[in-house]
Amino acid sequence: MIMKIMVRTWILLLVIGFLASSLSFSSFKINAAPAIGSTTVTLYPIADAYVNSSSPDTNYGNENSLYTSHNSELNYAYTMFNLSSIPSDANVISAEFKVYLSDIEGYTGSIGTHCSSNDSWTELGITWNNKPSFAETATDTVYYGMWVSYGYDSWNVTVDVRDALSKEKLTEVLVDHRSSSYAHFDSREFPQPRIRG
Amino acid sequence: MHISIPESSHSPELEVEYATLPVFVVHLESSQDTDATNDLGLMTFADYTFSLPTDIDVVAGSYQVSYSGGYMFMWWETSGSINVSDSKAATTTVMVSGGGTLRAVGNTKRLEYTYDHGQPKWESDTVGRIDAVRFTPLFSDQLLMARFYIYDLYSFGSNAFKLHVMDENRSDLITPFEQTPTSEGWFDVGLSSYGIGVNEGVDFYVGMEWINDYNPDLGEDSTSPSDRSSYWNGTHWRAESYNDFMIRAVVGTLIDHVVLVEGSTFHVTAESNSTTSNFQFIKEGKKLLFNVAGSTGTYGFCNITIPNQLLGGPFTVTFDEQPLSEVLSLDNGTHTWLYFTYPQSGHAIEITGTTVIPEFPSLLPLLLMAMTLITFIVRKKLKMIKE
Repeated sequence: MIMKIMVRTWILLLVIGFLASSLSFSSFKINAAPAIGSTTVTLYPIADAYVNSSSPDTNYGNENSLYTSHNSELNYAYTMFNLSSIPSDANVISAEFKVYLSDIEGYTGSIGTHCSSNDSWTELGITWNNKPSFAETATDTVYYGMWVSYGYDSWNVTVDVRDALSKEKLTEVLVDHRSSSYAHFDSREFPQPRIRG
Repeated sequence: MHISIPESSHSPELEVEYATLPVFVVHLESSQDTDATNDLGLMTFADYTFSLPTDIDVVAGSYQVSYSGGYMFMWWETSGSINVSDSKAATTTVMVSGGGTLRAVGNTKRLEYTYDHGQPKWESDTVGRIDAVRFTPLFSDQLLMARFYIYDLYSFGSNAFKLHVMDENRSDLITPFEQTPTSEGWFDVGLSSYGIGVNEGVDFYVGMEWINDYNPDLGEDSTSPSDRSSYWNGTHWRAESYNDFMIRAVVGTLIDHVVLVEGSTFHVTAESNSTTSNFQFIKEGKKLLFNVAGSTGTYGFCNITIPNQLLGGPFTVTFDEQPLSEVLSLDNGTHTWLYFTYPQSGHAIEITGTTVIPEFPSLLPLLLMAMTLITFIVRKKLKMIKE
């Protein structure tokens, strides 16, 4: 009898865990109205590349995808934006870093974006061995649960843009915080919308 | 303003919203002039429509603002670093130089019950389907008007639909009748002549029944649904949880003036945001006279319906003996509807018609009776002579 109750309790806990995992990902946010009278600008990267710990001297700046991984090898995705079109005295109300997810595997968990203050790297020069350092703490994270939709995911980088405005360049680094995992995002080199069956 | 420089599809993006001037928090709200209720209606601020109350971020500057739905608008009130160019106009310019509050003040002489947020998408269905909205009156009064947001009209086929007014159990209060909208946007149907009273806290429903497949399109709004919309699918009523059907109801006070003249009874009905008094019908002068009173500096309106048999048009309307140039007039053959506005406070309104009820109507039945009697007597006499 006690065994039966224990088994049922475990099943119940598993179901609750499963639901919690799926719910946390399926939560949605309501888009608030922008600040009235504000300007919204969409910027595209001036450089993007990923670096791979298994090939520390290889440059991946010309690839169509940005890879992040956390398994037997580490991959970090670097993206640089030119902020010079935003007035230096602007009051930044919000900033969203958006990247198109095209493939993902691994345990549930987060991918974070980390700010790097070093903007001296170049798209065709960056490798694992010369990669700029980045903040240990993620500016924002996106949680990937059991069901994931391909498409644009976004990270709130308002603080990073405010800090980077005076030097006119912003570098964001996508880091996979999950385990046994990888994710592919479309890079600026990706030419056409992909058609999925 | 949105600036976008397209590059490749699916490229990473950085979307930045910024302002070069300070951003302030502006609190938007509405209140009844007596403070009995508050925050009914919608406020549109620089093309964004908000339900009330709400706080918005605004860059310093000037913007157009308007109040709609909810109360009968009377004036704007501001606090903090907010100013309006015309405090008596429902649509005006607001100047923001700091944080503060913008409040629309109105009365409940005419209350528009609005549960949608004015953000339409299309909704259409097949014959027999009824989309309805449940209204909960805050006051006991009369149902004056139903409003339907017509999202789209079609050039082929009819755009007629059937209007339902239903009680709290969704049983029809009046026989449903057909209406045909002629343009897109808000389509208003006057209901004051039906004398439908609504009671405080007792729900009623206004519905639209399709009598033509997919014509017309009704607006529906998915912004924060109020759970007040439902639809009849032919066998059952179903709740519509994801949208508000864009149907509104106007409830207010209809003043019924009974005129007894030449033995006949006539009803002259008036709807106004002013207090009306001293109503008189002067047959010899073909005139209707009454006084209006309201808060000094505000604008009043009067919507009056006159039986043509009592007083026929064309009409002239004077305001303190000065002719009002802008009078809307509509004659449906039996009644004439006049609408005009005026600056308040207390004033005299005079409506002069062209034709008036003649004196003989009360003698006519007597004359007919006398003629019938005479005919009867004459025929009887002739019959007697023949015999």
